[in-house]
Amino acid sequence: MEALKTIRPELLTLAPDQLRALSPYLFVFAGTLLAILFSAARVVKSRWPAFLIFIVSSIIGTVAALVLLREPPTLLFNGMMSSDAYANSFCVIFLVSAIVTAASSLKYLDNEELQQPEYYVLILFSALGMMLMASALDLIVMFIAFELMSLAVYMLVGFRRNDRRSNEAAMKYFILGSAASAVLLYGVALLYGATGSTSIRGIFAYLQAASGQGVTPVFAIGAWFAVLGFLFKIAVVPFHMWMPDVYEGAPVPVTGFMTTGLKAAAFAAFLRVFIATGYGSGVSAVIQNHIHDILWVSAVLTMVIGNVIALTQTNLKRMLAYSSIAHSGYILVGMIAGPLSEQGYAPVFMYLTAYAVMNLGAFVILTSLAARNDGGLNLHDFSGLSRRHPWLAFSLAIFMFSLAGIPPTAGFSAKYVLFYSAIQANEIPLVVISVLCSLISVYYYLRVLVYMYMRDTPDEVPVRRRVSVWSAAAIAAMVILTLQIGVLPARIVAAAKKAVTSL
Amino acid sequence: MLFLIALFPLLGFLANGLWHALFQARPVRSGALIPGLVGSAAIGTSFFASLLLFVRLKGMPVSQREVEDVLFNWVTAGNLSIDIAFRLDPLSSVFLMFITGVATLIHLYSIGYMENDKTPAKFFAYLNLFCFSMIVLVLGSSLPLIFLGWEGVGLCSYLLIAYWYSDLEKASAGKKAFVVNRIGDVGFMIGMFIIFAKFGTLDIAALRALVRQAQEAGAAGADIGMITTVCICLFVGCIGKSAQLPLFVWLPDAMAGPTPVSALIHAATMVTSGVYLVARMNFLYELSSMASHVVAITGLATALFAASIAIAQTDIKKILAYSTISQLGYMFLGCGVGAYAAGVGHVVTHAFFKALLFLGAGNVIHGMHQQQDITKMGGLKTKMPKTFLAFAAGALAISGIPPFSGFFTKDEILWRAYSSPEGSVWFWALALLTSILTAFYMTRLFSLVFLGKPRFQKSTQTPGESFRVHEAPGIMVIPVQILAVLSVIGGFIAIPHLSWLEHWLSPVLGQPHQSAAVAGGSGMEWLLMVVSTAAAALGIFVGLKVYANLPRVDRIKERWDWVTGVLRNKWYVDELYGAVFVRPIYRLSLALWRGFDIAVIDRLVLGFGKATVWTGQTARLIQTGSIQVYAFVILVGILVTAGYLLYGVA
Amino acid sequence: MSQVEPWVVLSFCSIIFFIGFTGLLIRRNILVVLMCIELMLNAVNLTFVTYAKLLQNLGGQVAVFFIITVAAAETAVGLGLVVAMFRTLRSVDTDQIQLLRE
Repeated sequence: MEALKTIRPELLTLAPDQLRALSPYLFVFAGTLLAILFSAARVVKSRWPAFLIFIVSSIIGTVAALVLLREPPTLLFNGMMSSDAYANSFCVIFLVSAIVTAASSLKYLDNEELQQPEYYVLILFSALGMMLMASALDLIVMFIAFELMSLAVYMLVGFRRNDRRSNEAAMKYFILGSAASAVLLYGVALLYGATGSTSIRGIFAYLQAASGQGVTPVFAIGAWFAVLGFLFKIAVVPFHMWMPDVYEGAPVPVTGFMTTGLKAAAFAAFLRVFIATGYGSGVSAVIQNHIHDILWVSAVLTMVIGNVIALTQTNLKRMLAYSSIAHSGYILVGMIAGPLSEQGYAPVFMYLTAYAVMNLGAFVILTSLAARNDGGLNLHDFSGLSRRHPWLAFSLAIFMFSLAGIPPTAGFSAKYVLFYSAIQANEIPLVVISVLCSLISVYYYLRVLVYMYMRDTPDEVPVRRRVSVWSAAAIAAMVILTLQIGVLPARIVAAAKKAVTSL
Repeated sequence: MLFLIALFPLLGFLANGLWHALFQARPVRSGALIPGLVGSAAIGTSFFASLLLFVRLKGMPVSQREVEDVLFNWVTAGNLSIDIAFRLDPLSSVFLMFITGVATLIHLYSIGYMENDKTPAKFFAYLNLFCFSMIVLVLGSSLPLIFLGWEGVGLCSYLLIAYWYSDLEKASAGKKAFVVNRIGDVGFMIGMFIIFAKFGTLDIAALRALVRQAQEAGAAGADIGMITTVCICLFVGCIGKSAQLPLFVWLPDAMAGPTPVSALIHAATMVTSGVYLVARMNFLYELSSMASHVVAITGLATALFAASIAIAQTDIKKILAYSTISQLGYMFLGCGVGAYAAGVGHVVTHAFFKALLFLGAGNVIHGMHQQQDITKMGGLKTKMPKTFLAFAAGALAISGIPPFSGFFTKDEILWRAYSSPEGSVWFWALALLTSILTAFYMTRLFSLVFLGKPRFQKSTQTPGESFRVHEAPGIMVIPVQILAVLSVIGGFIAIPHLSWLEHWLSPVLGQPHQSAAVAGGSGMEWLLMVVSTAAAALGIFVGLKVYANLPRVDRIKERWDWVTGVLRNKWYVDELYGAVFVRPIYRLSLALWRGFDIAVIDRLVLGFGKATVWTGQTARLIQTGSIQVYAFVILVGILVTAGYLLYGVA
Repeated sequence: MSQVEPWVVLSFCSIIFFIGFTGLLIRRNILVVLMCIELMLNAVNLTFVTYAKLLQNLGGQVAVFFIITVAAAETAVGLGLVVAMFRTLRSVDTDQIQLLRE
């Protein structure tokens, strides 16, 4: 009650540098509001206003985040939010994946006769949620951001309202996702009870103060539940089962957005909570060793199950869903190794970036090729693609190489850095399993190439679709980035280091 | 500024490559003109920039002649950090100028030569890519970057040798070049690894400083064995790239490529990169007299050996190829006896006159409608007067007649081979013998092609075909003439005692070694110079005399059939390699494939694959699609993990 | 008025929470499943309030307001999805939602 008696003016006003630090969020939020206005008023019966507002606001937001990367971190709203290099780097990832998703959706929505401005509004909302997730320093703020993102994505998954599979996917995702966020919230409540604070710094300060006598059961359970919500979103075994169904049922561009933006956001918040609850700082041996063991087992299961089931899939979208589970496993390896290696969590950031780039690229191509109702994405539909769409086939080949981790692509350098840090952390068995798993993955990624380049076009020739300029530009940008990260990884490694050191 | 030099050819490559990729389906009507001009402009700009940089370098104080340009950090892994950085010093500026200069002329020449080619944009894209790689090789500030360029030129060489890949023989010539070069590259890489393990750096300037430091501290002696190993490993790379004994076999076959390619890559530039590497690493070779001896003896043996083969060949390009190998041997001889400047000097003049000879040969082949056999030529003097004159200048230059350029640089190498403490009178004598042979086979070539009576009318396959030998068009003659002028005057940069080149290179290469006994013997030097001139003149005289009377040549050939047979068949080296390496390895791998691969490995791998797929098919059945099953799995996961945690806390 | 021991309330909350989760597992009707989720969130709310009281700290009570708001939004979205699903599926039975599998 003390807080209410003394009104502190600095809580109610924003200093100019704080306003500056908030600018990416403000730009995106302004874009969201404008887009809602346009779509609600239906002044112009066209897709352009919402789309253009989307593109402009998110590009400005990206630029603002990039500019802020050079500036010192700023605490906002009484320490509930931090605009640091970590948050801003992630903002760039989220906004770029949002832009790419929207760019590839424009034509897709026309084909599906779903062209509604709300689509862009929802993507912007979820991007805003992601950004807040990465910058939140308070678990309640993080939860609200988490829900902002999730609610928008539930609706996006069910956006093909007349398709039963889309509805079903949305429903499954919604029910399981809500349950997961309830668990997360329960964890926050327990943490609050154990430490008297919901802020990340407060929790960590409690831990440091109590480092002598170990943690209470309430704290341990609370900490674990608080990260479970994120483990659910990144689909770590055994919390992964929703993912293939949802990815298959969601509209293709939304699936691409989920595998990249949403996963990166969940990892961004996960990492903050993870560190705050004492992993790696040695304040609690129990947390350290037991969480390590649990994550170790889940990482192995995640990699094995993701890769092995992906092997048997014939639908490309579903295959990429399982492979997305497998990639979460690799990233988890980086999370486990993070505190024990020289590079810290930098490889995790680098892998997320690389994965976002290559997977977005692959999904833009799938979006461009998808037939009505997301059909035409079975492996045999890709037969002879190199002759029908030489450029698309070539780009998809690059993304597949990258996902499989073959040099000189982003996937290779990211895997290299990640496994190298795991070796430094002395997690040799984990690295051996990861490498074996990525060997398995080579099979199903390169099978796509076999179909594209070595099979003849099937008799019932699919309609040759024109690829929109927006999609082509997005694909080209992703190809360039994939190769750039693959050939010249130094810059992205430096960016990753900078991002994680600001944690 | 430095990176611009490399950037222009890269842009040219991208422009031509994109053009080719985008309009592949539609052959360009305008012939080779547009892509050729784009390519030439790209490399010409580089040439201009190199000249400007040379002037800038010349304006600096002698000890600080170095320009460095760090672009960005390329790789950082552990304590290995490689920057993409270019460094220009007197040595690289010399290479840069002649490479870009000669390349510009050859690009222009190619516009004429590739006129009727179907994919000229691809050709010029490859040529530009080659120039880019070569510039990276020369300007690279660290060994990995040099290696990058080294592999790049190797790749372009492969692509251009096999440029007409639909011809099986040409395609396999490209393959051979690639494979043989890989053998050398292994040596390069091992040398690089040892250097990194021992010195912890791959940057050449840093390495040089470290070596100097160790030398001053007197500690270098302890590591002399290691340094020798490094030098020999690197030299193995040079042997592959510069076609020395025993890895020279790819170069004659490489003549399957278009003639401008032979002139640019396989005579003037790429094959000399081995010499560049040895000169660049001279601070290591200085320390190890054993490695220097290996270099010198390999060079000398190759020079003699290749010259002997050149005598009996009948394909005009093959003769020039063997002559290139032989001249490269000279350059290594120079480097091996510690006269790096002399070796580099010969690289420069050789680039002028050998490019000239190849382009001249290209004109001849062009004029003779793809005929390459010199026994079916003759009397071209009157039909192709301009090419004839230029070719004569080249032939005199390579034979070593003063004041043509080859004389000065070759004579310098001969003198150093004699006077250096690492040299000996035997080196000199064998090199002299090689130079007689050189003069002889060049005269033979010249005489059979240009002098005497035409022999092609009667040998034309189809009698009714009109066969009109013509002079090449202007765009193909002017570069040849420019090169001819350079071949005549180019030697003046390296006149003994006044040598501008030696002076210019001395900050990098140091002074050539002079043994005390002959230090004052300037008279001796003059004497040897006269002797070598006389030897060259003798070779030419004999050649002219012998080939003036062709029936007698045939009689001699019959009488000495076993000698000419051995020479014609290149000492049976290819056959030897086939019998000793290629066929046994092939048989071994066949046996391994059948006995081990199919029987054991395949079964294992397939079994593993089947097991994995089976696991996957079983595991996907858990994915029932029911929300409540999923939720149940989540709940079990939560309870198990939470239980494990509680167990830990309690 | 006698004081209720905090641990009783907290245990009650956790029981409610897992009752909610169990309901999610065993009830067929999606609307009931939504209610179960609501139950879980309310258990969390109660936990927050209890701890706020226990710790004499306002933060927990403020958090509850946020959670109630978010839960309302969540229910709105959930009901919207149920309506959309009912249009195509003509059912609100969880057993019918099994088209996407394996």
